Amino acid sequence: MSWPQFVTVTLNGLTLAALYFIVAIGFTLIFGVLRVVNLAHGSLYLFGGYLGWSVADRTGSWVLGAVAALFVTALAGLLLQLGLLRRIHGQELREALVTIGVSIVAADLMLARWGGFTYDFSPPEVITGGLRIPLLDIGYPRYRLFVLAFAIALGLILWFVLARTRLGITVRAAIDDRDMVAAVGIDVQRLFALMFAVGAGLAGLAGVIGGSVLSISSGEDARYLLASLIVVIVGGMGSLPGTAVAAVLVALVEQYSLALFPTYAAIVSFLLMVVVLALRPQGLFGRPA
Amino acid sequence: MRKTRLLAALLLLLLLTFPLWGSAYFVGRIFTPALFFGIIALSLSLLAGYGGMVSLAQMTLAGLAGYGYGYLTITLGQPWWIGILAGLAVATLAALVFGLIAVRSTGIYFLMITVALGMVAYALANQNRSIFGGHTGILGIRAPELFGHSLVERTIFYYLCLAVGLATYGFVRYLAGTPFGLALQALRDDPRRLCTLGYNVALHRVAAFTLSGFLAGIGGLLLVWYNGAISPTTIDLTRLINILVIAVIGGLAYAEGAFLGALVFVLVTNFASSFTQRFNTMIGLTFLAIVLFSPEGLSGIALRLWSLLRRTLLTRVAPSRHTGL
Amino acid sequence: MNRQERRLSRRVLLRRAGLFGLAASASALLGACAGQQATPTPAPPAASPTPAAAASPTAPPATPAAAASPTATVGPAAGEIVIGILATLEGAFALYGEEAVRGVELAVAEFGGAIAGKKIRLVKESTDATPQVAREKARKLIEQDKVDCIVGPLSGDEGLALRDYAKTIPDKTIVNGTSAAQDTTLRDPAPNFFRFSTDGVQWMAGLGTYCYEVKGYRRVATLGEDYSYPYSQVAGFLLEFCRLGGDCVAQFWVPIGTKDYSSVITAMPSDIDAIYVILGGADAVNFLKAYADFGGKAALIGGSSTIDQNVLETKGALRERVIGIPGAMPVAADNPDPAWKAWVDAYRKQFPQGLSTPSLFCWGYYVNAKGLLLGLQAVNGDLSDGQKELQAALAKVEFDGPTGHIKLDKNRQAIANNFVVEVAEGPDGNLYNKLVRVVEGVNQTLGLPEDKYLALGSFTRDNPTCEKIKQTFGS
Repeated sequence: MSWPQFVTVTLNGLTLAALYFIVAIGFTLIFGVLRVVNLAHGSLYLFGGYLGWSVADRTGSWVLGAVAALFVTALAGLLLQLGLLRRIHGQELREALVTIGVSIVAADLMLARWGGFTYDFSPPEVITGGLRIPLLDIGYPRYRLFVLAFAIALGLILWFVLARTRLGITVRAAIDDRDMVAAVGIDVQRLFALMFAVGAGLAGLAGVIGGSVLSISSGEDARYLLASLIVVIVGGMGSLPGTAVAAVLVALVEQYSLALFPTYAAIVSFLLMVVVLALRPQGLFGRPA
Repeated sequence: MRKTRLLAALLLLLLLTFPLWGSAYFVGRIFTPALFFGIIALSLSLLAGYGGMVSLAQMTLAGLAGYGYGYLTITLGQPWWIGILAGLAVATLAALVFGLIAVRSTGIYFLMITVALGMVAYALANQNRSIFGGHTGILGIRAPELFGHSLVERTIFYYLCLAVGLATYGFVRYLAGTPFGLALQALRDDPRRLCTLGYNVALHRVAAFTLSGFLAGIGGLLLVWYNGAISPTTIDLTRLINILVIAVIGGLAYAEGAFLGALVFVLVTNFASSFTQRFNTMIGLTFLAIVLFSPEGLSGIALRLWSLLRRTLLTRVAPSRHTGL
Repeated sequence: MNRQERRLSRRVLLRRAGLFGLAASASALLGACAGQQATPTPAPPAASPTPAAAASPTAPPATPAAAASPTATVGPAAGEIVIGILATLEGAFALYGEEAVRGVELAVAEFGGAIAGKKIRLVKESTDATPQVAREKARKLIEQDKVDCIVGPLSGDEGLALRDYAKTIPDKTIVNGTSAAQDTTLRDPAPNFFRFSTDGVQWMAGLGTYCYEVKGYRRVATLGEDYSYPYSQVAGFLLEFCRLGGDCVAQFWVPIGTKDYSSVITAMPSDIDAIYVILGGADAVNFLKAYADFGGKAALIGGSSTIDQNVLETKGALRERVIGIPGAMPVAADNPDPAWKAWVDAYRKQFPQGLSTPSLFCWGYYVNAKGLLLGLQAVNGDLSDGQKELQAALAKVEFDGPTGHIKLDKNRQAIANNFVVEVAEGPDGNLYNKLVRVVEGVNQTLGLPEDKYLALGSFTRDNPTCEKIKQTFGS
């Protein structure tokens, strides 16, 4: 691998990691607080992507599409939590099965609505186009760098909220010991609903952000669900720094293997997950269950 | 109790005489697949109902048995009985390896690690040409021939699947009463207590998973004979989830549920597409309804209807208030 | 037997009705979830050139012949011929499946819905594009719906599965849909499987020559997904390109499902004239997008799926990236041939809700159905004697289709025309494939000696190489 190629592949890995982080962070938040493994997370991603595209197409504003995706998907998540999951709360497996059922139905309905077409976003021109990287003389898409910056900003904001605000303290306490939080008089149900909405909304937002890196089409739901699962399991479920580190690890491994030995590239990230789980079942940053 | 036996005998009689009065299509294309999918789902019922381990890799294990048979008989040109042994060995060994990797995880983690393992196998099968035949898979696989008859001839194959189905069903039911089966149920209900009693929890889990791999492998062999080919799409994510859907629709905790769920599933997938474009929505909604309202599946519903008539249709495989679902 | 069978299926129906009743009664509550997905979101994109896409694939067929419900009656009534259509009517390929059904209906309408006084009844069955489901649904068509012949399937691996299945039902006949795996008919063919459409290698005819002679490309790299269809497309291109003296300096095969091509693009050698890309649907879009973003300099050459109408109709900002890309395929939208124009008119008349131009899938199912109907006509609709006469007649069928003359070779594989095209912008602003060259009478070995061609072996990720092609056929 030549030097410029190495730099580009590394950048590809980092920008993909940013995307994985944005998708997976909602998943890990929901799990961390509610202990719900939301297997409909990919469906929320795809729903956000489709919806954002439709809004952007109607209004001509990509930003508006992203905002719409964030809020409508958050609402969808809220309905999912209040309408279906709340009544069976605490039964981990049953909750996961419900989300599987929802994802089957959602995939079919979205296909009915948006068809088998591929949807290609047009982000604002400020963040599109190519960028020459001096010294190495290589071209790099500006949008991918934007995603990287966005992910870092999102991570910092979440870190700040979790570390410094009252809400964040409650959330962290809930991750550590839900019963105690309920016992001190905090309305846990409201916290749960809020966290589910936030997690789902982030998935929807990721649908627009990620859909603009590549494109949106049916089948992307399963792909991003698997990507989230791998990242979150490797990092440790419910851990913010774990998700960030794992996203970088998984994405770099994926891109290097695609550049070096494409034939078996598809297996490598799954193997990474298997190895981590075999050696450290709770993930790199997870607490033992 | 006597009435239950009577009913079971009647059901058995109906199943045994089915090819005499049923339509050829229903015998060969509905009940036969329902039986072998039932066997694969049964391997999940065994794990989930007894051991509290919900695995999504059962179809992968079944598929690996099919690949083992196909590779030995087609690629290496070995006789069918070597293919059968190899297929079962591959499924069992893979289950052992999967088990060793996955035993330290429980509950929802276990589900996810089995998905990951399943996807590793899928990606490997898709990419490897020398053994798995890549995306096209292995074509032209033939079932064994005995006395000039291929085992996949309609009636013969129906009876073969019925016999194997009954045998595996009987075995799983029998297992419930053995010390091993009891230990498994204890392990599902309270692993810590079992540990203090001196049982090796991890070892029991691995053993149960390996056993389920063997069962899934049996179903996988029947499946590959029936299809006459195997390709990675047999073990893709959709098919892995299908087995879970089958077991849940039928009732995860009941051995009978695996077959009941498989029958319903095969019927719906075969016929629903003629009526509605959105049959995946139908399957999804049915699945959701069952998970939400009748966690014990169709078996649970049937059981309740039956006991409403103050009778018992089905005996619970694993009596417990926590069915793992 | 028949009565019992009907009684059983009725019972099954009842059971299913009960099951769905359960689901329906639950759906009030579930509406919360289902409804959220179906929330009245903005209407389909106004610019969408294919408003039919959102229409139900089972839109009421225009021919009375096709109106019968698949389960209304089972088995052929007296004086009727039942034809099963096997196509992908679900999932992401549903759009293709609709087109496939239209193709068959178009052919049937041409014959007035009847052959020799026998009414043609169509039975549709959907697959999910996997071989095991294709096999299962073909069995259902034959055993439960009692069809006489099948038209289908749609995709390559399904075709191989049905070829193997055909061997087990010698007294029935299968004609292909659009599946295009070369080995279906080239190696180990089934005597009752006929393909009036061309295969993935044939679809490349003319492209290698055009790129070498007109475009002046000498060194290329190839990129495709790692399975049989891209193998045959790449081979079809290289077979011409390398014989003329061109070189293929690198080949990239990415795993199926790869979406992010950035690192593959980075790994492309810099001293090449063009990259031959065979990716379909969203993958093609992702690649084209990334290639533009990374400032790729080499020209692009498209496989049949890379620049097909489905990709060109992508919603969004794709257009600048694809105009001018050459490719090849068995149909060309702006074919000046009057036969093509008449066919397109017939399509538009019969399916006002259809696409602006019939797709490759419509064409494939049409020519195959037409071949079958001509065969049936030749034997006066006589299907006795295990369809032996029909099969003999089919082997001899020759006709002038919308894209020119079609006849079969000894393996029952079509010899037909192929078209070199270039992506262009139409007067209405929509992208389409502009015809630049017609290659007439393309056979399965692209005119190369059959023994040498077969000696190349099945095409895989490392076969054939440019060197091997030059060695085998001389340059």
